[in-house]
Amino acid sequence: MSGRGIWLFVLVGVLFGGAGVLSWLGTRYSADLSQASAQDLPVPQPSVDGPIVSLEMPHTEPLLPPGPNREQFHIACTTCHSTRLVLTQPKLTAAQWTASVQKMVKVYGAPVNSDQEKAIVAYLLAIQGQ
Amino acid sequence: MSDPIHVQLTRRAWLAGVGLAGLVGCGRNQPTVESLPADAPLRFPGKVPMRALNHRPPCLETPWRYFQTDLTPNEAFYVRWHLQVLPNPIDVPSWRLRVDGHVERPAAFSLDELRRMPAEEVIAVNQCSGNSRGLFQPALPGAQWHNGAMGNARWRGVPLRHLLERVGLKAGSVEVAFEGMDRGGLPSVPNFVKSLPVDRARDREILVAYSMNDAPLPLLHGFPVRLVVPGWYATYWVKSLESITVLTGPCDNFWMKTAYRIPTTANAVEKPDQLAKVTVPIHRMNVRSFFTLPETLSPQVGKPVELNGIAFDGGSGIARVEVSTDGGTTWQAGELGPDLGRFSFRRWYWTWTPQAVGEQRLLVRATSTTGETQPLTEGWNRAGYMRNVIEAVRLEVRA
Repeated sequence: MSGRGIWLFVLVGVLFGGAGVLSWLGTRYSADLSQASAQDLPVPQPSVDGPIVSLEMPHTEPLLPPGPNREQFHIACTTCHSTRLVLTQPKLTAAQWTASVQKMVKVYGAPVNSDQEKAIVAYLLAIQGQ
Repeated sequence: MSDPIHVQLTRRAWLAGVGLAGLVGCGRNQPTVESLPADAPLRFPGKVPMRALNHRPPCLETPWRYFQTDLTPNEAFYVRWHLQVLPNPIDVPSWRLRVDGHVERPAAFSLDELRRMPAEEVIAVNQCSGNSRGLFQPALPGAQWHNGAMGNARWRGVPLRHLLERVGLKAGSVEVAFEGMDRGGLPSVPNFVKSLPVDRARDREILVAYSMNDAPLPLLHGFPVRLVVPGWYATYWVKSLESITVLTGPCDNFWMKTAYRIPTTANAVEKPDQLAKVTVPIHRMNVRSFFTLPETLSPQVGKPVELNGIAFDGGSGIARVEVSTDGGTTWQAGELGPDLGRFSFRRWYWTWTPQAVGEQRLLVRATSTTGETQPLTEGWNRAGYMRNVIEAVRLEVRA
């Protein structure tokens, strides 16, 4: 076997061996998660000892279901809160959704005029139960 | 000379490509975020995975199994913020708690100064006004909490009364207002400011707390300091305090005048088609009790099994907890566990010997030392506050 051949053989060995180790670690990790109750797993606490205290927040948002005026809803409403807050609401009447949107406008100053208000309520009613 | 290198790179690129393709392929078969329920558990830094009703700002519910201990661990304690711009990061050396308004000597305290002041501790339940809102019928808009928007912790900090004495209240002080550092997504969103009547603010159990369950207050729970108002709903426990202002009149912002108000009727009950005309700011918690049973519990007919749970109220303390196996016709007294103070969860125990096989429905009811107890049917109000209906649990009894 040529010198280059041996090196290639070693390289392939290292790659497959590494993949094997990673895969073994992966099965061990998921096995641990399934066996222990979440209560038993220690959760490392972010430090609050330094001069600067900060947290990296998760920011994945559920996608908004397709429906009429989806973009208008997205622009007007998700500036101040996640899509999650809306998608976790119970089935509400048109009057209840209208009151909610009007509260956002009157109390919090959401940039929504009366036409947009109707469009947003229509979207909220359309996506309920999806 | 370039050929061998070229070959090697290509092989590496090919191997990397295969690996990447494998990863992408695996990813296709995994559930994606958008396929999960909207309230699927999320993991925040320092927290266990928690039911998320919102994450911007975070509203996270304590998983029920964590109520099997008297103190709720910080990592599982529920989280509820109002405004989406959290104080993050916080520059501790430049942070000050301002105490001013209608006072003789306005002051500002650093975290180190607060930590060096005489400290006190209290074990107290922190419960969201809207805890259990998601269980109301007819359904109500708002955060759809189940029963886990509450927790019990040991809080340590400076008594508010001490700070008020340091600055000296002037004659004619009516309320004390507390402002958090969180901000809305638009400048028009009103800052989160809550107020207490001046006499309530002077109560000795109220703390400006920097410690929770013997650990520094986590950022998600209001680092550097938060208000602790034992016995009152969590809306007053303002997180990440930046100012305390003594007022000569009532605080009339949105958070006091419009939000967090209850009917003046008994237990804040009203009817959807007959809303109460007079409302007041929500304040003292009503009495509640719960089962906190292990998920593995498997009762057997004729075999005694010890059940347990928690009870609490707005600070008078729990006098008794009773269990009913016949839908509330008769009640049997349970035993109370250690008394951790009148603001704490009180553990209760009751030994049950099931008499029949199949599904059995058990009820639990607490009574406070002032004689206040829980209703058998749910009381409703427009905002979904103060739910304290008698809780039921269904258990499958095996032969």
